[in-house]
Amino acid sequence: MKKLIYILGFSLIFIVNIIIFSGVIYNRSKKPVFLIELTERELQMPYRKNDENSGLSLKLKWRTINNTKWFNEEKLKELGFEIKKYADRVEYKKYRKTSVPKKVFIVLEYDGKPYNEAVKNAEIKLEKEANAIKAGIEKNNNDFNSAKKDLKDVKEHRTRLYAIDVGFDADILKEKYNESGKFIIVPGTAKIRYNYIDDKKEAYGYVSGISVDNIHVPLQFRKTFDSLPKKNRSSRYKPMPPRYKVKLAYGKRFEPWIQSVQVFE
Amino acid sequence: MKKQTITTLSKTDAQSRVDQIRSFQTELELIEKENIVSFDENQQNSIAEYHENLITQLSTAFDIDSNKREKQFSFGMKIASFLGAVALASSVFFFFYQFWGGYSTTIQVLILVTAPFIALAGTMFIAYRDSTGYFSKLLGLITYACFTLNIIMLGQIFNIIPSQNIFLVLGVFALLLAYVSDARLLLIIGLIGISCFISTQAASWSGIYWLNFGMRPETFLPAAIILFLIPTFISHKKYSGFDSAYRIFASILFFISLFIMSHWGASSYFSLSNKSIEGIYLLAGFIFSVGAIWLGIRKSLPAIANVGSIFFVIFLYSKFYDWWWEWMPKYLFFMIIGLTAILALIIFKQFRSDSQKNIKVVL
Repeated sequence: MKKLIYILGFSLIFIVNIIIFSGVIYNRSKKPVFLIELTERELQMPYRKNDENSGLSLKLKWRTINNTKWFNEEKLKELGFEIKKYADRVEYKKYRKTSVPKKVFIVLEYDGKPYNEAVKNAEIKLEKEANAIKAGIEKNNNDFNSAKKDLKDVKEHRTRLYAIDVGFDADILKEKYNESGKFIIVPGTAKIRYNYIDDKKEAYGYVSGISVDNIHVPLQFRKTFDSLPKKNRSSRYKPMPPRYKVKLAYGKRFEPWIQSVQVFE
Repeated sequence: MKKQTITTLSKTDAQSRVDQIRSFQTELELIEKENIVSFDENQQNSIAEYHENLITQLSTAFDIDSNKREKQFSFGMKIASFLGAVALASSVFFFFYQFWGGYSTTIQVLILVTAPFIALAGTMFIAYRDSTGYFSKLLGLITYACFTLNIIMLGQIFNIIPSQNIFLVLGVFALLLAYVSDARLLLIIGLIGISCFISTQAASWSGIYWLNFGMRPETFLPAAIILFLIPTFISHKKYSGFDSAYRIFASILFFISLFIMSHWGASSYFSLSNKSIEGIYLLAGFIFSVGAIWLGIRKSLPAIANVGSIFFVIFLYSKFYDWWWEWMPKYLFFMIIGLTAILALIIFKQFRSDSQKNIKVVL
């Protein structure tokens, strides 16, 4: 009996590793499904070095904007979310269930309309604060300075990758968003949220996470990252131009890998 | 004792038998001194010879402790084995994390894939040579750590989308190791993996992304019921305390799920109001905890009775807290808790007296 259990143990280790490598080979076989160049703004190094972990992963940074417009009730129904119409806040509190995410495919757009809109919103806000100071409404420059920092952050530091659509069928999304180097489709999760502002009841969705947002850096690219000067590292409080760009490939299973890394001069 | 009977015993059963013999010898000495009973020389020699032969057979077959001194050393070995196993398994993880960044992908993969094979081979080798079982348990846990590292790190290196099958694979592997090395710790690890897999499957079938299975604690209930029933259908007599481990783990999982639901109605699958759901689960918690106490007494499963008692108290006191903590003076709150405990003492004492009366009636 014990002999049989040992044989099962060895077989399990063997089979599991075969399955893992088969998946990797399948994912990376032939041409990548998506190939995109992202900079440090979209693929960030960790802020602190972990002495206990010598590996390096880049974090995929993304944002959303105007969820109530594109991830509206119609889209929620399409994804099979149950939209309950609660009569009022009391009923909402009594019957509302903790929102649980659904597995979906998410379309991320690089340097597109949503990013431009975010820049425009920041510019409008800065103009508004400047006008408020001119009109004497604002007594100090705090809001104006904050708006100025925000605009610089959006233009120089923040990611330009925005979620613009979700769906169950990746093939349909690929057909719709087929411009190379502009869109990537990644597996992730989406949830439902409710807005209860006065008597207005609104359900909208939001992207709650991406399945793989930490991308491992293989050894051949480590020296590039290890040699980057820390003082030029951008942050929200001190936005600076990105130091590198990464060619990121996505395979048939929507699992990414780094194809190349280039440091900006 | 015939050889075939020995092979049906577990190490725990064998140890209990030896302890029983030693207790009998001590008690016999006492009652002989007080002239309650007296055996002639032939009878004394027969009993002594029988017991010594039995102890020798059991010691040879199971490497058990035949006296108090050996027991003390064994206890020390158990603690050392547990701490050593946990420490070495942890060091496997940290060792790899410390150095993996400096290796090429090929070297990383080679280390990760070969480590569990080597560790399992080592476990097999030691198991055939180690009659105490402590070293094979230690190596078993290291093997499990190596296999876990194998899967997790390959996932990180190749940016693989996580899958709930990891719970099934690691759970099954831990169970296999538990059964070859008779290790309850690995059994519990395996049961955790299997119950997480059942729960994630239940969650997936209801449309929830599997990683968020914890947001619907009800998914743990079927897993708990299945695991509780396993010892009923599959006997684990040859394995030390496995039946008990299955039942205790399943009971704790069941009651924790009920407890969470009795405070978090918003996480339920049911469309009733959250307060109603919490009330239903609270009631279920009380009913099932009383049921566990009854079952434990009825079927001589003291561990289940204890789990039932503990959770009955937890349910009760958590409700007292919900009802009274905010407005009741604290001295009064704790006085009521204390009085409830005294009431419970009186009730249990009554149960105990009734059970003693039943024994006297039977005798």
